[in-house]
Amino acid sequence: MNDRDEFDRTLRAWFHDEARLDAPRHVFDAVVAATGGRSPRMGWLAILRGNPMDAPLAGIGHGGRVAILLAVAAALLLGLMAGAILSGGSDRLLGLEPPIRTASTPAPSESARPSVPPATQPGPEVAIEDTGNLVSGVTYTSNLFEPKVTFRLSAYGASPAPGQPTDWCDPQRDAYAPTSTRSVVLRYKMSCVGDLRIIRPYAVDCGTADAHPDAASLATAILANRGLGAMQDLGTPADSRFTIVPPGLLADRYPARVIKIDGSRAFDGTTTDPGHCRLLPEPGSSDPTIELRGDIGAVLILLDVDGRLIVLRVADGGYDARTGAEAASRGYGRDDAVLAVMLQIISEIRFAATSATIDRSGPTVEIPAGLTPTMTPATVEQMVLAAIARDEQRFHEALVPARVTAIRLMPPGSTVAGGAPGSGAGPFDRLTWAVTADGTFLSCGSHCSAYTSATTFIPDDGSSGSGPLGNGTGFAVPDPGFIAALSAQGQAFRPASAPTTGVISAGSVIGDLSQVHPKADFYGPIFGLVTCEDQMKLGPQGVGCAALGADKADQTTAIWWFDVGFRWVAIDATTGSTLARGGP
Amino acid sequence: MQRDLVVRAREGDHDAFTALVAASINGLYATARLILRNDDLAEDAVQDALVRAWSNIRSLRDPDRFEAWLRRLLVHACYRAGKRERVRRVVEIQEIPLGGPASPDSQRSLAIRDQLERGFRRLAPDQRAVLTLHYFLDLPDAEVADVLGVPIGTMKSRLNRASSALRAALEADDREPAIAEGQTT
Repeated sequence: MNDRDEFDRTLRAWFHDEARLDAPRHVFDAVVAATGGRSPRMGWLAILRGNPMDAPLAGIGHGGRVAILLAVAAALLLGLMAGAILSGGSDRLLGLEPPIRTASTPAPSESARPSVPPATQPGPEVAIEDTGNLVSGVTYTSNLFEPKVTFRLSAYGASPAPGQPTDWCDPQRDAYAPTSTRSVVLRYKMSCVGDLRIIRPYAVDCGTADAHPDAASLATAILANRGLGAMQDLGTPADSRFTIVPPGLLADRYPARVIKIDGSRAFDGTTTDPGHCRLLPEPGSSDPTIELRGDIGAVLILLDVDGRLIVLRVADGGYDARTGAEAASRGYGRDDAVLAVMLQIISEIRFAATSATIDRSGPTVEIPAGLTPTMTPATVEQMVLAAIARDEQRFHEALVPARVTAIRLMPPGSTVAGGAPGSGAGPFDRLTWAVTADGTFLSCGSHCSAYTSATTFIPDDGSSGSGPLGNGTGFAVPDPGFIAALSAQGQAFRPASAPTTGVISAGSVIGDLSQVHPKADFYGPIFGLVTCEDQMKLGPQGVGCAALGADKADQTTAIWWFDVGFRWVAIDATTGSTLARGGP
Repeated sequence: MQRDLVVRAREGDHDAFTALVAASINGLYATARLILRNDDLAEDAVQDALVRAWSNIRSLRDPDRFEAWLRRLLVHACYRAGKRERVRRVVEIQEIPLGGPASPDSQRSLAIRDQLERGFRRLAPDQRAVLTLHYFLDLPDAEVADVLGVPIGTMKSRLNRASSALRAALEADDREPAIAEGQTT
């Protein structure tokens, strides 16, 4: 067999491996829909339009067809004019008279048809994830948000008659569900850009002493933050001096504070988190980080609900982006009236009672009697915080704010309960500090996992420590080299839970991998979202955010990342096409 | 059977046309995907071709040539989609050419596939089309020429040039030095 035969054989095999034989169902549906309402063109018209192959005029060149078309068009025009003149319609034909409009009965719009029974017919609460549009008179809830929340919606200035359209957009309009266990997003009808969010932050990075502050502490930190520009402390929702919070907004009384960020600073679309104040999402979730910014106006209602911080935030920019540029691309504006309107078209917000509380305790320090360490607890705390900072840098993102929760000195011979042999959890042959902390921890062996809580072991004599030993369930993350490569070109990868619809399933990816690489070991796939962080940043060879498709600040590419033994591959999670490859 | 459907579709029978679509859409999609190397564009091209097929089906005089005619519509739709691709093209992070000690079969196989894909992407759409029609669909030369709308001699020279270009791309790939991880094209 010669080289050419080998080449042909390889090429044929590659073609057949690469060919995905099944067209997506929606393509078939689209074709049927696009062709179903009309008939084929008359044969002579199709021919004149230069339809290729097998046509009587196939031998006629383009110029010839144009000439024929012009002739036919001229004949048609003459015929039309003659007919119009004969019927006395010459003026109208020549455009001297406005077209006659016939009265018609407008068809009811889609939004005018409630998809749920009106509240006059008592029924169960309706989950906003389950309904096509939102109407007045219905008590809405979320299947996901915890604690359970209920509320009613209406239209501004309209009678709250049951079943009427509200001024809120269809909650199913977003590509990714706007609700989660920690977030409910209601978008205002004006282009669905402004929104009201009910947020239960996973943590707060806003200059508070604790990443889990109560409403009063967070309010104090926000008001003290000069980076947020002009603000108004509007007291409590019940404060009669202020009217921006309508009396009926909250169904129950909660310890609460209201703050209005004026957003009067010049909008800087290129800066991320200029105010250094963020409401952080749960790691691995699809929820966005919410930045509080001096260049974006917002009203914040900070609530303590059974010891949990819940933030009601209205903002007219729909700002849920990781970058300011993304906010700008969403048509961010500054219209205080819209903020007030949004607070008037939702009412009776109520959170179900819960016994859950949050841990506000600071780091505990345990030094057994008789042990005399060389290092101080403050020193080991700083060492761990520095390690977390390094992992944040490797990961290019802080998963949660760093916080040391426990410091314990262990005598030689100690073993950490639950630590597997060889896991670095002992037994230790010298005096060792065990430091437990929240933060960003990367634990990389042959592959990497990330943890938001871990225990690190630091020998008191200053020798090399071990760990981190992740606490709880970690999540697989791509190779740091992949993350670094993305960062170099202005992009970031956030692991996320794969939606159940709209993306290729993990099982399908694995199935494809197994077919294409039957002998190779692969790691993953790991689902995540790639976003453009910095459009101005270019990688080593001049390629920026376009590298993985998210080439604009308002774009996100859902990807599956996997490692085939010696190289990584990123594929578009919606199309299956390969976006990037790399390797050590 | 297909001939009957084509005849009925030509008379405006949409159900017949739908049956033709159902029978042909997967093959068209696979072909478009190979030519365009992009699922979204392939979907657009298939839809474009089939909608045009319905609009113009009355111009098809010989029902037996429906498949070839449809392929021709598809290839032209791919060319149009390819132009859109040039406007917004996804850039790939360049993969690492393999080197060093002998690789296992699977790694070697993977390397060849990757080289083929990269080389194939470098070809012009008309070169990808001729290779796809020849190697994937196994069409006779005359039919490839027919689908492309060019004389058979032109088709053969185009196929030869495309094959040579792909070989050259693969050989060039083999000569490239190793590139650090994450570097981009």
